[in-house]
Amino acid sequence: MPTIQHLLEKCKNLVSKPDYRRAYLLDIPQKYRGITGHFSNYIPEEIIAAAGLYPLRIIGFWNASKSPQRSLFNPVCSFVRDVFLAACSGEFSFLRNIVFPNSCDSLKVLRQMWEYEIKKPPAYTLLHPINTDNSSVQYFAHQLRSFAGEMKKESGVDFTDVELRKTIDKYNQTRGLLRQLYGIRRTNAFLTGADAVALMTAGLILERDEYNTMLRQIIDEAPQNHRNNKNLKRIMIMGPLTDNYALLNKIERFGAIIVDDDITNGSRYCSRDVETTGDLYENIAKRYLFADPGPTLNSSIKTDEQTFRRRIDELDLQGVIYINQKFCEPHVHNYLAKLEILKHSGINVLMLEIEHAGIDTSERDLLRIESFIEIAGRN
Amino acid sequence: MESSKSILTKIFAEYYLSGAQARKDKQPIAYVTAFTPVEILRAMDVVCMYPESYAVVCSASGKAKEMIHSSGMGSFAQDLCSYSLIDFGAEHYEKLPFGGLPEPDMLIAANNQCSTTFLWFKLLAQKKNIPLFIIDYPVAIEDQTSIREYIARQYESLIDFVKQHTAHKLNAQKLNEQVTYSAKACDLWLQLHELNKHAPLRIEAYKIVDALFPMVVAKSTKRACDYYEALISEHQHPNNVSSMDSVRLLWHGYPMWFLAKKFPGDFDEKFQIVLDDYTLWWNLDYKSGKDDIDKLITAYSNTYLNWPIYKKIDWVCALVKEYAIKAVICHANRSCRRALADIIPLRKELSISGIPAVIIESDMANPDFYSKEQVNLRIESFRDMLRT
Amino acid sequence: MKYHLGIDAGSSYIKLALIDTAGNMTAKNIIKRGADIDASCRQSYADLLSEFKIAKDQIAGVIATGYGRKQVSFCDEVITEITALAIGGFAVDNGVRTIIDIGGQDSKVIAIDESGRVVDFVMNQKCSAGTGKFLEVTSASLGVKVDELDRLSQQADKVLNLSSTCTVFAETEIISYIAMGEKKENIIKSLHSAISDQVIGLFRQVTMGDKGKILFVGGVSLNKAMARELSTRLNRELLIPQYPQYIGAYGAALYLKRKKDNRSESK
Repeated sequence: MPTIQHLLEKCKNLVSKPDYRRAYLLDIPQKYRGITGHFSNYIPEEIIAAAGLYPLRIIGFWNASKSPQRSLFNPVCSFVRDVFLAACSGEFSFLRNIVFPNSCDSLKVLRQMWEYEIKKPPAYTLLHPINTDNSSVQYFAHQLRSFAGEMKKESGVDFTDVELRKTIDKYNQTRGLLRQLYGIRRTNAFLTGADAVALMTAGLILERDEYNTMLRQIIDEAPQNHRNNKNLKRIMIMGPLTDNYALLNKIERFGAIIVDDDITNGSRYCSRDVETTGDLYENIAKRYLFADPGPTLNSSIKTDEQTFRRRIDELDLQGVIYINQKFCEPHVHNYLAKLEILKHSGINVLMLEIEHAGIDTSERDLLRIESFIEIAGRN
Repeated sequence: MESSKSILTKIFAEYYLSGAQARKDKQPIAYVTAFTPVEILRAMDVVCMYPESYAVVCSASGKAKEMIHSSGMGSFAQDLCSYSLIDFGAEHYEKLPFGGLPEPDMLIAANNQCSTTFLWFKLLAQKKNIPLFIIDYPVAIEDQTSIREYIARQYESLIDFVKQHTAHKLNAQKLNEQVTYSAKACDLWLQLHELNKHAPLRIEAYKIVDALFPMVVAKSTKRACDYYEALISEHQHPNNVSSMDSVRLLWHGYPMWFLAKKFPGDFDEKFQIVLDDYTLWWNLDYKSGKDDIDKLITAYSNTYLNWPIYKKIDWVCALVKEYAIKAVICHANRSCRRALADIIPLRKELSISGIPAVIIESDMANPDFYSKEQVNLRIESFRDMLRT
Repeated sequence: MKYHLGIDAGSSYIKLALIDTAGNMTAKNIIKRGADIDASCRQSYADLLSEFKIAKDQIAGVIATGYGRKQVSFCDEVITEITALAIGGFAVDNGVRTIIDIGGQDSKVIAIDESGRVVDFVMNQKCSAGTGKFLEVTSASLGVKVDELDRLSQQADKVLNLSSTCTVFAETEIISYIAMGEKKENIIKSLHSAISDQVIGLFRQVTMGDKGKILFVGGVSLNKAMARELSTRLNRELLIPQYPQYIGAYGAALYLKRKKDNRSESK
């Protein structure tokens, strides 16, 4: 059985090295009818999996495959620019298809450019709602049925509720195990925050059974790897997709421990399960609308505020680092929305803007992070 | 017939005084986005104010830069839409044009132009602690019944929302009146543009941009229709600054509100902008639908910025043909990501049809992102190229 | 002998090109732009006349191009660099269909047809690190002279990620790489790669990209590392004229001469 270190090394490689990632994906089990790439927490992976396809969350390439920018203006988010460059270089040529969400404008721009210029693999947009009330659930359930139909056509697998329930179970297992891990990490720093984020991000790429097995092993071995984090500054990170392992590592090297997160590929990915009794599409719609109060959905402002306040009170934080992508509008707004709450709670906040193209951390940013951690918790 | 100038003055006055009047009469005030179905709100006696339009006024009055800097967001949020930055800055700025907008009782945003307006209004709702309603238009409707039904249910929820917060009910007759006037205003708006299908021009393009205000804030009113009728009748003859053999230009995208004549560069009778397609974004289809609510679903889901890319390109190319355009100037407006998406593909498609296009970069409202030298060089070089 | 003078009042340097009645460039001069563009141009003009022993009354006409063209008070006419570069480039070789100019402040790609007419052009986007200034500033921070860039670039063993959207960000990244102990050679190679990214992005937007010869002009074309990088990435040979910084001034002078010749012919 591989050690935790070995497993974490695999996760880090999957996240940081596009070539390693590609090699892994080209070697997935034969049973899958193709790989379906997607961009969002609002795309139900269980439906893709039920159709016999391999759901793959697209994460950054960090400009590894360079191709000149042809058709995209700079003021769209740097992650989208990174993906666009990768697509132009043929990084997605081995995917079966790709699914876009209906969330932010930068992804909508990418969707348009996919249709106009990139073209392959073929793209589909899941028209999820941005409102999160009951009529939106009905509408979303309808869209999910259409989505399922498209995935069935793509793979040739006409799955029923029986198969769908199985994949829901698998993904519920993942979510449950990740939540367990979060609980352990609050008092046991056996995983650094950087490693934890690498582990969670790798889960967006890894084959489901393999990943669930990995999580179980790590959770089982957690007690014998107990680490005290008393002398470390307790930090939470916030932001969109955060796949910059090197940056997180550097943050923790300055005497911090990332105890929790509010990032797309972190806690927002695994909150709440899909119920398996009743109308499955409605249940999936409910879960995906209510589980992730991300900034691109119109969730209740008051509920969000209360949930957020409760969370930061429980965590006993000394600082928050908001890691935003350059030109990401939703997260600048989210930062502004949360800033007052954090200040009111006496928690220092540092906002970083990173570029997916370019160096993982600049000297300027490192200086700011080091100074921030030094003063964190002094309020 | 009353002159267009006189009618416009009244529209301005009515709009900016309506807020104070609403407070006096205890009428509810809603902030709305440019493509919110205000016909429903007005049929429920809600006074609608447009922060985006107000940002335009602030930019045109030369205050945008100061207001944005006074918002304190210049250092970390300068990449946000400049309309929203101006609005955030208004909170901290003293000498506001027209004394500023009145405080709203509710916020109603639609995402049929961008996601920014929704994010902006969500933040406003949090700051002001007032109710927010978002209308979600997932895509431009063609024949998708499920989306039409989804929007219809949202309109019902909107009506309930307004009823809940104002105790006002929807007056069906008023709604019909609003929709009828909106449809008429759009017809007249299009007719105004079509004056420039002729050569020489009947009306300078920047004057059409100047005439946009009633379409934004008052299109569902008789007054707006009267204004456009007057404007059309006043421009039946060629204007003095046009030439039969001029290079007819299409300006693609937003004008620059902080410039007196809205477009940068030197234009004259030999090299003139015939049309800014941005103004035609307000020409919505109010005629397709089985009833007024259905017509509003069609109209507001089919806004330019909600279209897929090929539809946008086809539309602009059709305008190029209809208006006998010889060349296109594309404004890559930093503030609007959705509009940025179509610029380079459009340029490519135009080039395939033999229509040259140049791209200039700036911002619609924030002069900090306007480099006069850079922009003028591109336009001048473009003109040179066209001359040869 | 009568001459025509073209002045390219660029953002970094002022270039003068004097052409004779046959349209050949017989004299040239380059100086760093001072705060007063007009004064700098006058000085450069005086130096040129003195060095090449030409009397002022032998100058039939003066034309200015470049960013500072409207500040040149003693010129008869101005034209944009796009036109000037197109005329100059076509005069160098009439097989040229694309001109790449990486100047101090901006980069341009110009497409011309078989008669040398401009049919398309694109310039760099805002916030893009694709200009000569970027190279100058970053080379200085590495303590490297321009003529060393080629040798050092060839000794690189990897290409580092550099932001190609903003000169300021890119400069910060370079400082970070230096601090991390990255080889100078790799940083230099990556600089050229980042600039190429921008320029190739422009190149692909221009219609004539696949046809005819490509002329590479501007001060940066003297940088062999840049020329090699571009040529490799484009998979095309680049034609670099003998005096690449002067093509704009040369083209402007040609324009003026031809205009005057046409006028006297029609009389």
